[in-house]
Amino acid sequence: MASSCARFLGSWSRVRAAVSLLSSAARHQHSQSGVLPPRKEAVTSLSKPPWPEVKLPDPAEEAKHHIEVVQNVKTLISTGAYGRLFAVVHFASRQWKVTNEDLILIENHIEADCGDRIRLEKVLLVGGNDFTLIGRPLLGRDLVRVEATVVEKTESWPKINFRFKRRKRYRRTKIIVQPQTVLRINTIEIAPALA
Amino acid sequence: MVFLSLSRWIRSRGPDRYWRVQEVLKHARHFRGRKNRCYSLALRAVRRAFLYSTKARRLKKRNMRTLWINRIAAAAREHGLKYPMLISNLVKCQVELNRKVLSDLAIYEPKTFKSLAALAKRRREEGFHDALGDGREPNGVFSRIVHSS
Repeated sequence: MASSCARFLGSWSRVRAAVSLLSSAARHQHSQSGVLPPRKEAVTSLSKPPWPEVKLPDPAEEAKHHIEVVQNVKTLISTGAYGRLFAVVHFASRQWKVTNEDLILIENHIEADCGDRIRLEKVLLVGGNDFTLIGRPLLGRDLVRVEATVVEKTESWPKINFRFKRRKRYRRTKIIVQPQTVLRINTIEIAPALA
Repeated sequence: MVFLSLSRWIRSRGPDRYWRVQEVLKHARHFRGRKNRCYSLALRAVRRAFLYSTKARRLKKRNMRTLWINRIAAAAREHGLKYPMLISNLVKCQVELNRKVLSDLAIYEPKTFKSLAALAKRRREEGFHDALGDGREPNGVFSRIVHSS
């Protein structure tokens, strides 16, 4: 992926090296005495990439830093030194940012009775005051557990769908009543074992 | 004595006009001016109101998305990133948070948003680094240039 990008990117680094190599090889075959001074390349808009040069940190140091961070988070979680946790949960084709004791209104019917305890499985992100666990895209099932109870199953207020074209004798009235479910998020728990 | 022809002079022109009128007026009771009392004015106003509410249900989704995008852009700029950079790099990192949740995090969980912005920034830099190439041909490709150097 990376080298194929380099192919299309004009006269930067690798391709420029190739051009200078070819030209220098050609010169040596002409049996000219002495070493010619290196050819100066003109500075054009394509001499360097249009983005500012970035320097990535040293991978070894970075790996150490990462291990340290993960260790800190593990100690925090295993000692239970976190207060209220929040989670981003994917449910009913929507994402919800959720904490304990939250109420959620879902605009459809759920196959569970009132009072049933439900586990919301697709968790994208879990966080507390000091740390966040970001899933790519989901966090593991053994890592987070979000439980909710079905509080209420009702219907929405009657919404009126009214289409009307003036002077054309066209009028359609439709009353839409959608089923709704209310969930109460009971707990968000993190398992002490992190991968 | 029973007057039988009285009922032939007085006919009922429909017994339920009152309720048919009330059906329209009940939707107009909170309007301003004579539209909340007089049937003809109320009928027009109520039709307009219903039409606006049906159209607005589609517009609301668009407007909310625009609002979320504006909020995320503002929050990203506070951290030195732009909105397209943030979104594209988060997607490349396989973080599938939608705009609604990102805007909520930007408002209520600033530390989390800061870490997401840092993640996107780092992914962007890695992308730049990869774009310059590492001086090698792809696997399985043999090139005279690289071989001679």
